[in-house]
Amino acid sequence: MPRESLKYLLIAAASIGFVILPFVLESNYLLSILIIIGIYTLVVEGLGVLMGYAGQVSFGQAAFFGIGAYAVAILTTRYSWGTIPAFLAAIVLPALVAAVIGRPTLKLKEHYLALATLAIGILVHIFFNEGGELTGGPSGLTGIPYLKIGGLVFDQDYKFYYLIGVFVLLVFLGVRNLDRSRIGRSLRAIRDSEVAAEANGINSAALKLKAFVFSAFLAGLGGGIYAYYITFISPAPFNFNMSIQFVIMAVIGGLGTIWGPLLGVSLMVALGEVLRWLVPLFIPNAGGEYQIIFYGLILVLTMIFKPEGLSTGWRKKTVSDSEEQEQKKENLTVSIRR
Amino acid sequence: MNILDVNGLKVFHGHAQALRGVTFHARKGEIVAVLGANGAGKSTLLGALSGIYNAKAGEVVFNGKPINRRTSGYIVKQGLILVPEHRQIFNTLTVQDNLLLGAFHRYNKDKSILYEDMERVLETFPALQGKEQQTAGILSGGLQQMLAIGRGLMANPKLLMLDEPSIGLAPMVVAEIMTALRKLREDGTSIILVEQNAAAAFKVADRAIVIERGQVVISGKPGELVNDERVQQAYLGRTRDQAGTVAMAL
Repeated sequence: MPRESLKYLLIAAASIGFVILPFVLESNYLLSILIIIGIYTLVVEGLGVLMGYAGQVSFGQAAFFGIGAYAVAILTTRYSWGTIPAFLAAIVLPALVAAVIGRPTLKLKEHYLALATLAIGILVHIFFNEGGELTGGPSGLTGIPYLKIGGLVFDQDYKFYYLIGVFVLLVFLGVRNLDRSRIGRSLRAIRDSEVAAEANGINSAALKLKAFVFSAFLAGLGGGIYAYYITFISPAPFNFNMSIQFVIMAVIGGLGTIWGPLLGVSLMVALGEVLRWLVPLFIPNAGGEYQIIFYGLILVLTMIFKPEGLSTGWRKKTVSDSEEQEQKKENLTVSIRR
Repeated sequence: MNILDVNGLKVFHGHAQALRGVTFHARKGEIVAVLGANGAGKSTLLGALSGIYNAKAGEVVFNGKPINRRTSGYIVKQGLILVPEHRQIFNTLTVQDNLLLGAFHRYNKDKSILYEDMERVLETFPALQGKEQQTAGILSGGLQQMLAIGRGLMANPKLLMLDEPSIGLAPMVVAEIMTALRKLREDGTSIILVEQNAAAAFKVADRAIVIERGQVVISGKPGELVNDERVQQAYLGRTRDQAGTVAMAL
């Protein structure tokens, strides 16, 4: 079968599978896991653009995810906003915060930038904890209403499943277009060589800021949906550990790829669920902190055996691949001698 | 007529002063070689001229316009283009994407013009022909250097600045690149060529300057510089007698 036909056949099968899945699954538990995978995919897709295209690392993604979730929670429960305006605020607010803090932060390079984003994540988490009545402190906020769009109320898992499916699809299409656009090429140029990008007239500071804002925008989108889905939020899901997990998901799936975030998130969420069941069998009363050890292990193994991520490079090696490898080795030798 | 006038340019990297009042000029349609040891300030000079580094003092006039403290985007639009040290091609992009990014500032114009320009670049460097869809990172060092220069040409430069284009390349490839530079000069492009390979630079340059510790210490025509004892010892590694032979060859 021609490759193109096979591709369309697979897309058609996946679409049918996606539509009928809620009717086939008997367990709401599995559906809720798929919804969480969808929400995290939005967040990690943004991080994938920031890290994979612009080459900037961020350990503060959970903060933007949290700002989106808290925006929905505070505006609907404290200020009685409608669910749609609150949802829009959940998307816009993290992007605005990213635009303000991104300007000075993105001037930093490499580990200094990583440390700055880590600090932002910690500060925002402290605000969630210490925000008093506004944020509900460590207890969080309850009573978030269900999302209403027109006459449709998202009060059941299968409705959220389709909603998140639509958002993930739109984000995939957006990232695919970005990949093929002038901005996508320019971002990858910055990642490969910022000096050369500047020398070609590419405003690297402005483009990195745009990528940072876009990544926060997607994190806010995920956070808003998360708040409406769970209907209760507390600071715990938006802490430093979560930021680390988002980074691991992005790296394991493959940076600068469209499908990588979905793959990375699926693996990590599935692993988390298995560990939640498995670890207490061996270590009674074990908390969630044990999971991070396994996440670290998975990251190390991926870095050793598949550093480009699990979503790329699985095709069979050809003669030209070997020639490519030889050329890369030669270029490396020349640069080392230099 | 001068295309570039640099007066008293001072640049600092943190507290360290990299350029201590550099003054020189480049005329339209000539190749000016810039020589100097590692750390002399050559790359900083090019970085400052192209807007990557901010100058603390001094004046830079390009094609009649002051470009001090202007962004690199503005400077590129004026036609002052840098081909940075160590090629710095965009490794993960294709050869074609690398070339198109060279024309970043005129993307909004008619795309067919960009493709025509790309054809012209490929005529200048025939070794790149047929490799347009190849990932740039897997090209040989020589092809990568040609691509880096080609990317610079895509910006339609009035003055092209090359930072050590011969570094790490085989003599035959260096000769090919120098031939291309001569052709560019014939077509009217001015060139500033930063090199440690003084012999190769002298063969194509119309004038040369030598930078030491952030200052221009010698300037003149290659034929004159080749007889300068300091240049012979530092950059040609020759005695006065041997240098005479080189001078005759020039």
